[in-house]
Amino acid sequence: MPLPRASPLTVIIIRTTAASYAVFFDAIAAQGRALLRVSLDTADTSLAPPQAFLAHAQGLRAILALHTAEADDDAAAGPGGSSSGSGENEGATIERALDALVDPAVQMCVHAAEEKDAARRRNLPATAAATGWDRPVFVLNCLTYLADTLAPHACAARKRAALHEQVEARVRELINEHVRPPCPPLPILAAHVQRHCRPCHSTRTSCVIRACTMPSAHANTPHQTYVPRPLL
Amino acid sequence: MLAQTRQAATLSSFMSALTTGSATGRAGARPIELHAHDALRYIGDMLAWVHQAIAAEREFLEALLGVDEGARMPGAVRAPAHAADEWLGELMDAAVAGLCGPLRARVLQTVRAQESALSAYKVARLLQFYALTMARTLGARALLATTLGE
Repeated sequence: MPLPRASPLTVIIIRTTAASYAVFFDAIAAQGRALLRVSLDTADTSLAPPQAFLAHAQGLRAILALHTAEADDDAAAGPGGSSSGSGENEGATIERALDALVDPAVQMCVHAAEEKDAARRRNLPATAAATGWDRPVFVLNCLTYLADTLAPHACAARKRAALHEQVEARVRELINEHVRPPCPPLPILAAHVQRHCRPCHSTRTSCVIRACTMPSAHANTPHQTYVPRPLL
Repeated sequence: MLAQTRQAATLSSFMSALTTGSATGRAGARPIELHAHDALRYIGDMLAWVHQAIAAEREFLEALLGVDEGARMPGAVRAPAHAADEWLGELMDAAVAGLCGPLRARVLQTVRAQESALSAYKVARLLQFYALTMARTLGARALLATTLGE
């Protein structure tokens, strides 16, 4: 069965719609590339997201607000009153836009933070470089700000979940880095046991662990009675 | 002959509405191109004029040919009700075909001039709305055929 003839005016409007979406995606791609070129001020010790990042997030917020408002209007109008056509196409469009807007922002805050950290270590004294600016916390602040920007919009749920995974992974890294382990490292403890436990100079792991975990008041009985001195 | 006459009349009215504002039917109406600096308003005004012209053209042709369309809500999908619908659709397409060139050139020029992502998105949403609306006014077959063809 042959396809029915299409109205030329409708064809023109559909093609200009496609062209306008192409211009939109080109614009957000250019915006993402510009964001990736941003470098952070080495002397700035603030851990808040930088101004370029905030402006980019503001643009993202405006686009999502527009999409959400129109989606709410379509939902209120019902299936017959939809002004935006296929819901699947709309979902694919906004997902593609989110990828183009969110991914460069994440890359920017990670790479720019690494560059700033490296520059501070090169150019500043060791004590100044080690204090005053915390790269992992800065990256966490940026990612959290981005996740909060996506929070009010149901269409951004997938992207927000991905951001939360990144945030959680970085939080776990911070916890592992900053929290002291309950027992000192085994080689250090083994050396300590050798110096202070005269009857037994064993450095086997099992002996060292027993020496660490079993309190005792008698220093002459090996393993069961040794009380390790507190390490400074 | 009828189609060519209507096409010329529609095109003339469109150009007048763009440049002088005299074809909009309202006294003291401003030309559409007066707002060419505002992309959303410019494209919206042009498409609104075209949509209104299509509706007026259909009513004229139905009155001329004595076709009774029956009750139809504005914006509802137009379903073919009788044998004359196909012929009426062809006359409609021919009448508005003359608008395609000037409309396309102006809309594309405005779209490509957009630098802001947000304004480009607003224009895209506006065009998408009118694509669907025009298809409903001209007939659902048009959008389906175009989509399948694309």
